[in-house]
Amino acid sequence: MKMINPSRWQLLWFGRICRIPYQKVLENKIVSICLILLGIVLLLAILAPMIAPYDPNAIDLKNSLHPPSTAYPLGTDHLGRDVLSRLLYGATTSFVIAISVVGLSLVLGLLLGGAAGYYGGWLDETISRLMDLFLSFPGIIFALAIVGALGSGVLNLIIALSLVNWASYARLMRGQVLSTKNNDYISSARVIGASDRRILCRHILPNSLAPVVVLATMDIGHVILAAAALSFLGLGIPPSIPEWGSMLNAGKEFMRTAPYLTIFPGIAITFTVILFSLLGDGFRDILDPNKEETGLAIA
Amino acid sequence: MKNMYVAMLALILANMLFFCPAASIDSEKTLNAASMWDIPDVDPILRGDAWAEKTLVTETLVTSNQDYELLPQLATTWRQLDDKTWEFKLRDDVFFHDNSKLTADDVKFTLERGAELDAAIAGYLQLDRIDVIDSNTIRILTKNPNAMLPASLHSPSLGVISRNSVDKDGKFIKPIGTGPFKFESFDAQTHVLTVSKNDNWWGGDIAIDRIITTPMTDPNARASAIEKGDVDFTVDIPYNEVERIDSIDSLSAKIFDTPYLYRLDLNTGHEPLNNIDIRHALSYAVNRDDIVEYVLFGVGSPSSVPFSSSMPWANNSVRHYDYDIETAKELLADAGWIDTDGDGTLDKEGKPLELSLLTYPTRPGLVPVAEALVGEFKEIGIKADLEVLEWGAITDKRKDGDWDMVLFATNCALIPDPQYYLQRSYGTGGSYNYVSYSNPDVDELLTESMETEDLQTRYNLLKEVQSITQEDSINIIVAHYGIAVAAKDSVKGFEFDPTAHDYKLNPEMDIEE
Amino acid sequence: MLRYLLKRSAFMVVTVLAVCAMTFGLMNIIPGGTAELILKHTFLELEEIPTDEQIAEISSRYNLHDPLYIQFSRWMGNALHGDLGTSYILKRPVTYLILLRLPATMMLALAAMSIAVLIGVPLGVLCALKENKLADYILRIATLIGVSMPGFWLALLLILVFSVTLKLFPVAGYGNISYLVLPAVALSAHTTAITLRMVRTGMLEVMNQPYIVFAMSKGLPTRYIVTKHAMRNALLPVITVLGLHLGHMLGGAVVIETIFAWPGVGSLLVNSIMARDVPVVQGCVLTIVGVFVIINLLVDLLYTYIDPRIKYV
Repeated sequence: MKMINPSRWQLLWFGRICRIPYQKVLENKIVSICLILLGIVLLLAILAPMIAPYDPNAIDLKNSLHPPSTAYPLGTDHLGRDVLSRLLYGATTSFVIAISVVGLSLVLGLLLGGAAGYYGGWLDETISRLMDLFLSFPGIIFALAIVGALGSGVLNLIIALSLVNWASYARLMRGQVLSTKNNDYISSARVIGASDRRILCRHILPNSLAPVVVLATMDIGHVILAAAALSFLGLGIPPSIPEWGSMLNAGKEFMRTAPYLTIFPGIAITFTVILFSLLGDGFRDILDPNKEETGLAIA
Repeated sequence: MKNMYVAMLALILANMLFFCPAASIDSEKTLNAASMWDIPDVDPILRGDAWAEKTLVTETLVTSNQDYELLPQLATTWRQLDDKTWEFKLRDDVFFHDNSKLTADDVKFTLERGAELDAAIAGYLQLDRIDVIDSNTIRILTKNPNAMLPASLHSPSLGVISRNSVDKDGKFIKPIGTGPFKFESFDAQTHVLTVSKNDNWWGGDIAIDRIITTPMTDPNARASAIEKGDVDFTVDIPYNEVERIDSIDSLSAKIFDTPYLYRLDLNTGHEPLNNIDIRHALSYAVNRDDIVEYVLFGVGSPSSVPFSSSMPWANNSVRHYDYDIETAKELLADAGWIDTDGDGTLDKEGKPLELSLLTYPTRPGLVPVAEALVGEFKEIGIKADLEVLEWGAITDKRKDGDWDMVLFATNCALIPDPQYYLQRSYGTGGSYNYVSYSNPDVDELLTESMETEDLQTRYNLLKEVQSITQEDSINIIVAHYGIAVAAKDSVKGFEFDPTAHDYKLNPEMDIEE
Repeated sequence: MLRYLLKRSAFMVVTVLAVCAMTFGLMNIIPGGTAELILKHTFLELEEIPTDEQIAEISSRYNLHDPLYIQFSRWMGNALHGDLGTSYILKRPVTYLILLRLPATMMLALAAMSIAVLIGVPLGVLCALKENKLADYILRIATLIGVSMPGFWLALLLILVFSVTLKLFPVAGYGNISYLVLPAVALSAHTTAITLRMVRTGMLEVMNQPYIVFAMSKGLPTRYIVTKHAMRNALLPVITVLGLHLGHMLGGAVVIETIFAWPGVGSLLVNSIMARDVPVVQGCVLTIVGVFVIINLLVDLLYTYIDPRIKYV
């Protein structure tokens, strides 16, 4: 049996990526606009250290609670820190958290869901029960318990939210595997003697990309919201690290006297989540035109 | 389709049936108060301050005034018979809410029950046994000489209740106390406590007919409630709202000083905090005036000593390590800390001066003050890493020694006697003594004070303790906690009692329409 | 069908118990030993430190030193008899505490659900009928915002506008129906938005079906077509989502209950987690997950009623 040349495999993947209907993406106005806007936001987040006018952690008590002015375009918070700088650095933190969580739960979910669907039997039963377990736990509470157990901090937050999230990806992947594994071309591949891993990676996974992408995109927005909710309950990240959710939470004490402290992070969160939702919707229109049940857990 | 809508309408109607409308208030004078902490149950031992202070259902043997003096309440006089025996004489004219007379037996019941159910009370009292001499005289024998005993009886958990409050199996029925108000109802779901006027109160007439206390643990909710008029009286609204609420026509918000402290503990077991000059430098670096003004919005008072000058036992001549940046920098430089690499943080032998700072979010002022401290320490080149954890997590870290600085709140006059705070914070093995500080001079003075009866002698002994410990600076006081009391202008006669746990109503209060 | 129900019930029980086991494990990793935290709550001072004797006494009173699996099996044994233990902090039976607060949470969830349905469904139909007109766009933008806003921000804004400024509703608490309005609206925002969009999407799909077009060409009035034919089919996915959301609402109302001081199971759970009141946490989790799992089952059964093509084995 000839060993497949790795570079051919890479070429095959590349081919899959090329097959993504870029034309359709660009044609869809909403998706294009969203991508551009998100690109801008991401750029701002990455360039934060360079464009932020002040150190986001510079405490200046005498300048506290200044409304927006020329010196401080978005005002200062209760410790005199510049809101604009914190918002920019906060973008970085929020994105890092969201992307880590989605990435982690994606990998975990695909692995477990794929294995469950493909191998079936007791592995499937166990993993399915696990999935049901994690899906039946209302997310916030689970994250609360985990962060309460492990303590607050960026890493623990990421772990908690990933553990909450992975099940939706697993369920999705399992569904995809189940529906495609009995296809003819898979059987042919098996007849030729292709290894399980190859079948999964070369054939099944690329075809499942579409709904996974949709889910992941919308998920990023949900994770940002979940992190904000955890900050509200007091289990977010240390106050010195700027993050939109904790800025919103800290500002709620001042809603009457300094409303801008909540308005700006609130708008930032809402706007970003909207972009991801629209993007996810758009992707679904393009990649999944049959509007298959993608198993989105929308909560 | 119509069926579906009918079903939904039925759903809504079902919702409405769950509700009972709120009881309407007639022409009685009712005070609606919002309290800070939850009221868990009708047993006064579970949250004694709700009964002895917020609703005045129970009364303690001993009370206190704004000058922290111990005054008789249900007890008339007390004296020490020998170093382990205290004798208390009780009032003769007090009746419980069920019209039974207050006797020494009820006091014995209350104290013993308190010591049995509440571990802290047991620790304060250190009961050996209680002897009833006659119906108005009671003798309390303690295991060790306890000069703090009378002051311990000020604790609201020891509000005297009648033996009839429990049934023959010891199960609690309802609180029968002696105070100006008697227990009316407690809503198990919302924890709203309603009490009504006691016409037979020994202390005289009362103007208010009813007090309804609603626990609201969120300060913003309390502020909104008072602003909207849902409540007449509340405390501890967000600091930045105090001025705004005060400026509203029908409301007033006043700030009072409390014996709570913002205390920064320093782990003397770690380098370089074992160096007394570094500890002094940290104290010199804190701009307490700015913190109180900008971070606490004036709700609090700057202080570098635990006892405020209004307390009769305060040693007003101790050295204050107040804001002095130059001295701070000098002390650090003299100890060999120099910023060799220009990164803003001092270092010595290659190690940067980095300290962990822990605090917890349960009290609203702690986190902002801690954040401000990070900024202040940065000015003198010390990098403080702030971590906000739950109190339980902080306790764990303390046990493991995994901390450099902890900012927390503590009540230095929980029992209106300086021995309480000084023993715990500086006595060997004291429960607030986290760094195993052990100074034989201090211990000797503390023991002597516990065995002395005369108050003035004790105060002098403890003043010396204060001066020694202030010098040693194992902790730094940043400020005294302030509390804002917000009330409608129609609420009259409120006098703030600093020894209360948050707030204590007084019987002279009235509501004028 | 019966076999299905039995199998399903068995799985449900196992799931719920497994969740409880997981919770129990989590609660015991939490830093700040249980004994210390229990004692802490009996003290008036938050920061008072318990002595070693006090800790030993509490540990023996609640058997905190036994190995975890023994503690858990003991709990499970009692739970199967309906005894969920006694709260360390509040000193009352857990079952009593939960039953006291369950109606409040259910009320809130039902109210929010009703709002979602009563507003989401008709508006969704409206959007579908007036596709791509102004009303459609406005509502779609509104739902987008509603879904993307942080929940507690929306709640705080609602309080600010409707309670403090306009003085229409009380700020927080529990009493007559006016106390329910703001929390229910805040809780329902997410679900209403999603319901609206799903109804709209479903309706649009259905409206393009041949039999609908045929009915329209026959000259039947639109309203008749919509109610008699279209909605039935469009509503199927909506019901799934609603079922899912009702379950999440029971737990996810945590944030709303905290802001509005609504005495429900969610806020009890949060406070108990913070206080390490393990029996109460266990009990709350059991309740919430149990209800959620039961609701899922009911939704699945409802499916068979609505769509006779679906059958379970």
